[in-house]
Amino acid sequence: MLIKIVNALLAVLGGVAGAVVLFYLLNKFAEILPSRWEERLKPYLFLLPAFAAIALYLIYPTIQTLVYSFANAASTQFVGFKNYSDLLTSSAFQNTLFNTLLWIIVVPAGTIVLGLMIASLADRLRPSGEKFAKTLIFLPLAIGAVGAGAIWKFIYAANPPTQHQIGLLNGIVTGFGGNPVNWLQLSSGRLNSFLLMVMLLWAQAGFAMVLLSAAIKGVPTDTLEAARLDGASEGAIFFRIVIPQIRTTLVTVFITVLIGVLKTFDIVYVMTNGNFNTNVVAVDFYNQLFTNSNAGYAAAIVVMLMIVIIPVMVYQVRQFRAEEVAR
Amino acid sequence: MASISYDHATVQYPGAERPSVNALDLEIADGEFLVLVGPSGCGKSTSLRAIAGLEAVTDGTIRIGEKDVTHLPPKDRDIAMVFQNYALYPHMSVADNMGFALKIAGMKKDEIRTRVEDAARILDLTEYLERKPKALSGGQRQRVAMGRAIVRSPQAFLMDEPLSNLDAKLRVQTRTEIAALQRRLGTTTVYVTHDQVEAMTMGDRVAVLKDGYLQQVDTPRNLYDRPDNVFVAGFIGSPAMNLIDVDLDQDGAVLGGRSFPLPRAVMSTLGAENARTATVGFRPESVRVVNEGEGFPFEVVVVEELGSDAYAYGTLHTNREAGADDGKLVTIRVDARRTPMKGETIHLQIAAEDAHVFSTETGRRVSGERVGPPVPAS
Amino acid sequence: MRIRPTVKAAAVLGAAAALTAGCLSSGGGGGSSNTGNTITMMYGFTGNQSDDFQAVVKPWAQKNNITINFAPTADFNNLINTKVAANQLPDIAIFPQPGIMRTISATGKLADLSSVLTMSDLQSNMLPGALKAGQNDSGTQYAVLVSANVKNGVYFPKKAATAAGLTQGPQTMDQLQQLTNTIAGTGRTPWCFGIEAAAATGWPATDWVEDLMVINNGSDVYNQWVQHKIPFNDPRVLSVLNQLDQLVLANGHVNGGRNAVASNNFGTAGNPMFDNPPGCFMYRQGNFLTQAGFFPKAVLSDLDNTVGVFPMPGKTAESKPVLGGGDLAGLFSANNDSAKKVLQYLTSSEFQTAMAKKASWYLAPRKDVPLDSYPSKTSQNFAQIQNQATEWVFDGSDQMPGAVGSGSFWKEMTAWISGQEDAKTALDKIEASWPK
Repeated sequence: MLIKIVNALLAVLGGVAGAVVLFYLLNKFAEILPSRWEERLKPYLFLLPAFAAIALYLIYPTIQTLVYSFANAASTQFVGFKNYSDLLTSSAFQNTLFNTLLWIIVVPAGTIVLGLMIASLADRLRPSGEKFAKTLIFLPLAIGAVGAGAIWKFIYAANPPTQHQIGLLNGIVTGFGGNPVNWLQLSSGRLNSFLLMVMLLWAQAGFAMVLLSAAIKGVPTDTLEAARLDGASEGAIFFRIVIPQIRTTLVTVFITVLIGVLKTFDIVYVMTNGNFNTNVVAVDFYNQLFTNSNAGYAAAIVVMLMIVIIPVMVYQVRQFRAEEVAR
Repeated sequence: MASISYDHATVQYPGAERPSVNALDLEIADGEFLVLVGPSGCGKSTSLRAIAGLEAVTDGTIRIGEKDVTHLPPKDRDIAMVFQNYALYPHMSVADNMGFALKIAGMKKDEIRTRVEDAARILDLTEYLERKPKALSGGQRQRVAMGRAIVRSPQAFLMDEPLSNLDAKLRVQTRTEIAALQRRLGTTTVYVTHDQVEAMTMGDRVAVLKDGYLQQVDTPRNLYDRPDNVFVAGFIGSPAMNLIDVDLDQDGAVLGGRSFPLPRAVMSTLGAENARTATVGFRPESVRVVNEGEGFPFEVVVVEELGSDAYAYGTLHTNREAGADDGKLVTIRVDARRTPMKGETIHLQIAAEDAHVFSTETGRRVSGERVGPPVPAS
Repeated sequence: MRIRPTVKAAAVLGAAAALTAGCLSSGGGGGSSNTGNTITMMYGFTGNQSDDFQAVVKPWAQKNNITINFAPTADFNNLINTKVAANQLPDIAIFPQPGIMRTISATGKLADLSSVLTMSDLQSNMLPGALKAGQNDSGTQYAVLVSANVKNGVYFPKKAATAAGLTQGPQTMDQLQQLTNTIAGTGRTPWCFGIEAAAATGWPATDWVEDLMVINNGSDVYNQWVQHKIPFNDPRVLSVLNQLDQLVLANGHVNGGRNAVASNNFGTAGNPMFDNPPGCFMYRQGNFLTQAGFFPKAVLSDLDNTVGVFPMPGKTAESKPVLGGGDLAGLFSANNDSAKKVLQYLTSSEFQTAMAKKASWYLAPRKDVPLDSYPSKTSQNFAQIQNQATEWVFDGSDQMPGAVGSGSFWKEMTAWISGQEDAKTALDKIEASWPK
């Protein structure tokens, strides 16, 4: 144990010392150059390690993934577009894409609506009540998706009708004399997928609430008062005065949740592992890579996911910049 | 258009120790321009917002015209307000800002357009109608806020320090414009400011508030000439009135070792209060420079030359029992062409007819209509 | 020695590492070059199982002047793949499944054990067919079973079952069907069944299917099916599903009805046996079920008197096939004498007898471990079922490629049982998912 701690300390010290030596040497190197070049090159030299790290940990894996997506399961032979065509023509993957699309449509919008609702309702509470309500609603975010899974398992749990129902929902259903329902198997109308989305909404609403609540509080009170005097009803004030003024935050929350949704993995993996028609791309990726050992399919899925996410990211960065300029 | 009346109106915030507005009684006539003035925290903004319905009246009533609006929501009161920070809707163009209330009221688009354009013409905003507030200067934003109020032709305008975000020059110009506009439209207007110059120059009448209480409401002229108490006396007028605590003898005040005779009526009132002292006030322009030996010595500390006027700040040696009030800093107006030097001692005579006498104890005015003619010193 | 394929947890980093381990990777030769007497042993069972294992092995190693670094990991499959790819090999690995062992043997890094162990001894003393689990397709011995488990036991509540007419296990499948019908005929529910296992949902169904495959068709056809020498959707498999349908899934045969099976956890699905009146009378599951955490505490504390076990019968009274599983020890350091010695020890009767005495969860793959080494009547029972086997086959889904064995086989059985697909579609889909 002691040795481990000493090792850890040495590693930290060594790392810091290494970094210092590296930058010192880079600096020395720059000083050897003619002064005109020194000034010109120095910033780049100092940025070099960061660029190298990004290249190593981000760009190289991305390219590698792209390459693998054109190779076979064991990444030993190129197969052209076969991985893509196989996936896109398989009914299972089409199903997975459809589910993912549902998530994309429902969850970000749902999170926004829920977050807005909570934020504006909490805004009307007394400060202590507001703090309490917000903490409570923010809590799921701190729990994490797997913890959320454990909690929601107890909500959706279904035992055979002859046994005690430990699930909350089935407890209610049987309490009213009904038969227990296998909630997570209700794939007609994708009801089970929606039940899983509820979990993400539950977890994300807090995040949306915090940002939106701050934004709502940032709306100048006098504009609300002016609108009130202008004869607007509370509803009109909310939709025509508040919402337009927090638009940038809304977009930020929407995109953040959207990107999160595209990567949704843990909830589905823990709750159904994609069974009962609930599969989504990230779970499919995981199973292709780790269960099926098919790096080709896995990489192809990641590349497709990347293609979908990139425009969203670009939009987000633009939006962010626009916001910075407006500030 | 309508009159506005406060009837014993009280506003107390939950948890506050005392009301922000305390049993305010005030009638504002139809078409009148009334200014609420006072130091910060005096309750002037709260009084204004109570008319708007933005603050809950805890006691008493507020009427607009004949209608009791005490518990009506803001939208049903038919009044328009101009806010200190203008409260423009940042996401709407100038035209939309001005037309928002009309749109909410369900007015037809082309009628809104006409009214917005009319208002824009009055306010010189025509070329900015499609801009967003962000792209306007402070003065332009202020005018948009005005425009938003006037397009509605409301019962009354409420203005909450609308000029405080403008630079000094623009402020002076705009206050004239607003006053002129109000006269032209004839809309009842309640205007809040902390700046007594604004109050004096704009209002038909001015209401002075302090600590939630109405101190005095009157025309600017009367407020200046006949302040009801020490607070109003000190608050109205720039530079402020000089207020000096003095001892009394049988004939009047003792000032600089001399008797400063006061009218009999004043003395009898003070006598009834068993007062040994009084507060005497005189405005900077109520003094005359006289030769040595004729008046009170005044040691000049600072001279401010304003071009048409000059003010000298200094200590007036009233020689009231050594120390105490001796050496109080007072302000006097001097001839702009013949200003005294810093450090120079000159001699002053206070025009007794322009002196104001207040009870030291209650702060209330004691002098009557006017302090009587000077009684020659015996 | 593990319970069964458990949830494989893997970090995103792992995914990245697997994706970026070289542009297009190529196999490499050679094992570990370690020849000293300090060796590393990696295995996939943790907790008290690991403790018991070390408690037996350590004293022996000390006596023989060998130092062993024990490296247990719950994430064995991912880790061993990474280590093999990085050529950071342990000296000995104990594989939880033959599938992964065979994949790694293809890299040439595992040693052929025929020259390390006395094969004739193992041949005659191990369960019939058990050696096959450690061989690759061409019959080279790369690993040997060092622990075993029985997956075809049928548990029953002793007292209640006696009242219902179940005292002795049925001798043939026909008798089992008859017994089922009799119990159902009296308005009671004969079977319990649950296949929910979080991310591994579906695997208990695959055990049923495999069991019925070997019962109906014998070990040769079974092994061909497992190795995909006959298609997965062979008519014989379809008839097995129909048999399962008739025996267990039919109306009134299973506790909670067919729809409850997919959401009923395998670990506790059998517990209604001990209700009064019993929710069911039979629950077919592996011998691990007698460990803590599955049966109610009251049952566990009096296991021998409360719970009876009979093996799934053969087609005839003479045939007694056993579906089993276990951990297989393989050698990476072919030239390390200490490692060789350890491997010889792990496959010996000495070690396995000591383990049987030490650990209640342990079953020996050798038949020459005396029955009375086992601490309880129930574990003796399981040992007996195993030792009487006319043929012993290793769990099929553990030997199939991951895409099938822990992928489509689980998922499609879940879809079939929960009524989302018919049997034929499910089997066709599994066949289609078999990696080419």
